[in-house]
Amino acid sequence: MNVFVTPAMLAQVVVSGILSGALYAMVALGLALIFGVMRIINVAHGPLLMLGAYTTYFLYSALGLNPYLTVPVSMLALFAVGVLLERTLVFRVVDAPELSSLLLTFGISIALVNLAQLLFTSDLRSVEYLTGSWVVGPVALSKPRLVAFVFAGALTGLAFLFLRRTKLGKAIRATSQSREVAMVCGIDVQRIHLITFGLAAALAAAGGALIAMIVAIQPEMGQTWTFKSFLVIVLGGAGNYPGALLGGILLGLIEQVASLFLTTQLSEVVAYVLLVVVLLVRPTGLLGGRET
Amino acid sequence: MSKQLLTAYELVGGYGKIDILHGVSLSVGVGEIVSVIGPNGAGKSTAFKTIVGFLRPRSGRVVFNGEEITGIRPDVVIQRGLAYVPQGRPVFPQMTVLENLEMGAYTVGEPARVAKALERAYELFPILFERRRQKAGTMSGGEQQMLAIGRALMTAPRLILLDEPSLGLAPKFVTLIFDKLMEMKRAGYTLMLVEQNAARALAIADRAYALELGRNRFEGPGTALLADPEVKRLYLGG
Ligand SMILES: Nc1ncnc2c1ncn2[C@@H]1O[C@H](COP(=O)(O)OP(=O)(O)OP(=O)(O)O)[C@@H](O)[C@H]1O
Ligand SMILES: [Mg+2]
Repeated sequence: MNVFVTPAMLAQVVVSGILSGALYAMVALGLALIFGVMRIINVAHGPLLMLGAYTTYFLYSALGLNPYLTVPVSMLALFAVGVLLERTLVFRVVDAPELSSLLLTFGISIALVNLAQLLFTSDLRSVEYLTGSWVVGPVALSKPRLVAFVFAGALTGLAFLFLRRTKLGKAIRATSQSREVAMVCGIDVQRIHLITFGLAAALAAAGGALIAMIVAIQPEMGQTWTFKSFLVIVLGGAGNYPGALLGGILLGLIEQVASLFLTTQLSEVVAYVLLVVVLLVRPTGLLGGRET
Repeated sequence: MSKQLLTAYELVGGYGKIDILHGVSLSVGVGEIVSVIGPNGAGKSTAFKTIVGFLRPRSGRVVFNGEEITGIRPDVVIQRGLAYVPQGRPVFPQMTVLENLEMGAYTVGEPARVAKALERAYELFPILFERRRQKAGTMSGGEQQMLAIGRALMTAPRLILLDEPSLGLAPKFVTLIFDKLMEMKRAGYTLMLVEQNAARALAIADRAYALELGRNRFEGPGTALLADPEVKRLYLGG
C-alpha cells in the first residue's frame, strides 16, 4: 500500500488514465451502438477486438506493413466479419428475449476464441514498432500509448461525425431512438442493424490493432475488453453514445488512480466492484437518459 | 363515389397465433377523411398496423393505389405513398424538429423535393418552423403530434393513416389538431384516422367505420353515424 502521492505522480496518473480511457471509449462506443440500436449486449465484442489485433499482427509480421497503416485494414476486415455474423446469426435474436441474445453472443465469443487458439495457437505475440516514452516535465508518455490515444480520439471523432452529420448515421441514431418510427420513415431497419454491427466490430478492431502495439496478443485477450466496455456503457448510461466517451475516460482514470494505491491484483478488481456499485446505485448511468 | 385509394378486404390476423381482427374491411377514396371509431381493444390500431405492414394478415388483402400491398414491409409501403403516424408521440426525441422532418424524407432522393416538402410542412404547422432547432422530446404533447404529422407529409403521400392523433392532448390542442386535419383535407390530402374522440372524428369524416371486437359494426357517412341512435348509445356516451 502506497500512501505518499506527489503532484507528479498524480499528473502521471491523470495523463495515463486519459490515454487508456480514450481507447476504452472508442471500443465501448461499438458496444453502445449495438445495444442502442439492437438492444443486444454483444458478448463477442472483445473477441472481435482480438481478431483485429491478430489482423494487425499478421499484416505487420508477414507482409511487413507499418502497423499504423494496418488500423484501417483491420477495421475493414472486421467490419466484414461483423456484417457476416449479423447476417447469419445475430439477426435471429434481435427481437428475442435478452437471454437468447446473451447466449448467442456468448457462444460466438467462445467460438472465436477457440478458433483463434486453433489457428494462431496460444503463443504470446507482439508488434514492437514504437517503444519507449517521451518525457514531458514530470510525466512520461509511453509512445505507443500516446499514438494510440491520438488514433482513438480521431476515430471516435469520425464516428460521431458520421452519426451526427450523415444521412446513414442519422438513420442509425433514429433507429436507436425508435425502431417503429424509423420504419414509418421508410428506413430499412434490417440494413441499419447490419451496418451497426459491422461498424461496432470495426471500432473493436481499431482498438485491437492499437492495443496490439502495446500489450501481448493472445486469443484470450478480448474477454476483459467485453467486460470493460460493458462497464463503460453502464457508467455512461446504456444507449447513451456521448456517455460512452465519458465512461471510457472515467474508467481509465479510476483504474490508474486505483493502481496508485492498490497492488496490481487488487486494482484489477476495482472495475468489477465499480460495476456492481454503479448498477446498484445508479443503474441508468452517470449521465442517465438516452442521448444518441 | 370517388376513386378508391385504399381498400382492405376482410382482414383476419393479429399478434402471433392470437387473432385480433376477425374480418375487418376498410376503404378510402381520394380526397376523403375516413374515421374509424370503436371501444378500447376493438382492433383499430391492429387494423392500421396490418394495412401498413407491421403485421401480416392471416387472410384478407390490402390494395393501395391499384397495387396489392398485403404483407409488404412498412419501409417499402411508405415509398408507395402510404404514410402512417402511429399511436403515441411518434417522434425521435433526441433529434431536433428539423432533423425529425428530414428523417421523414429519408426515402426522398432529390434535395429539391425535400425542400418543397419542408416548406409545405412549415406552412401547415408554422410552430414547427419556429421550433426547428429544438429537440423534439422537449416539446409538448400537442407539438410532438404536429411534428409527427408534419413528418408524415415529407414524402408527399397519397394517403395518411393517423392513429389517435388527439390522444392525451390538452383540449386546446385537440381542437387545433382537428382543425389541422380539416385544413389538410382542403389542401388536398386524403386521411384515415382512428380516434377515441368519436364525436369529433365523426363530425369531420366524409365516411366512418365503427369496429367492435375485430369486426365491422357500423359504416356510413360521418354525419349519418353521428345521428344514429345506436351509435350514439354505444360510442358517444348516450
Ligand atoms: N403487441 C401486441 N401483442 C399482443 N397483443 C396485442 C398487442 N398489441 C395489442 N394487442 C391486443 O390486441 C387487442 C386490440 O388492440 P388494438 O391496439 O388494436 O386496439 P385499439 O382498438 O387500437 O384500442 P385502443 O383504443 O386502446 O388503442 C387488444 O386486446 C390488445 O391487448
Ligand atoms: Mg389503438
